[in-house]
Amino acid sequence: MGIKCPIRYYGIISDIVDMEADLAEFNGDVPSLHDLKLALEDAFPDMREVNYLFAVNQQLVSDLSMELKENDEIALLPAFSGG
Amino acid sequence: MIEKTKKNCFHSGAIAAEFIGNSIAKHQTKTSIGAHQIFLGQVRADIIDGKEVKAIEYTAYEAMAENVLHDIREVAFDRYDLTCMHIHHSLGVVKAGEICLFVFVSASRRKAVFDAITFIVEEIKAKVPIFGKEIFEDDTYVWKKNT
Repeated sequence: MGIKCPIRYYGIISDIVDMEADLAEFNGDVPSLHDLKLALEDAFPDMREVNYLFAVNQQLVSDLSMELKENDEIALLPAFSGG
Repeated sequence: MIEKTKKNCFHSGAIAAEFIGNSIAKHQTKTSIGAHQIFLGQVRADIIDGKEVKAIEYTAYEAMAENVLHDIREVAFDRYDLTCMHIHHSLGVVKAGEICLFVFVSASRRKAVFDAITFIVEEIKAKVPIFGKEIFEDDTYVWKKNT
């Protein structure tokens, strides 16, 4: 059984994937952030050139082995440049 | 009275000088205040690879940004003896020379506001998920990197 998670893309990453938001569908095993990162970098090789952080449900996550649950809101955040 | 309610910090477009002036005026009834400190971030017409920045377009992961700003406020109120604090950041297009960030802190004494303003501005730059697109006169752009 798979799960679906909304994904938001920001800054230069939204240019690379040419989207600001999407719904990711994962089939089979429980997906982790690392699985998502690999899938995105396969689909969009330019992602490998960018430093970015993941947020899940609006909290930064540094441990990419974190398992995703149905409807977790994932955001890909490149370097912040406010102010 | 200490203001601690969660509030929207984002403004569409530039922050007008009148808005800043009105914010100052609103504090004249709070007579326990003896010191204000203001930081204004202004869009700089940087030259990048020979092209001049004419504007920055800001986007933010707003829900997370508001939470982070709320946390910054909480820490600042805990750490410094402030009477009140206001943070306003632009979203959308802000032209070179216009104001994109307005931080305003007030306290009974000057030491607290000097220390707090530095802390708050540095925290905003480092921790709030805001993204600036530097737009050139020919409408090409680069994503801004904070230095």
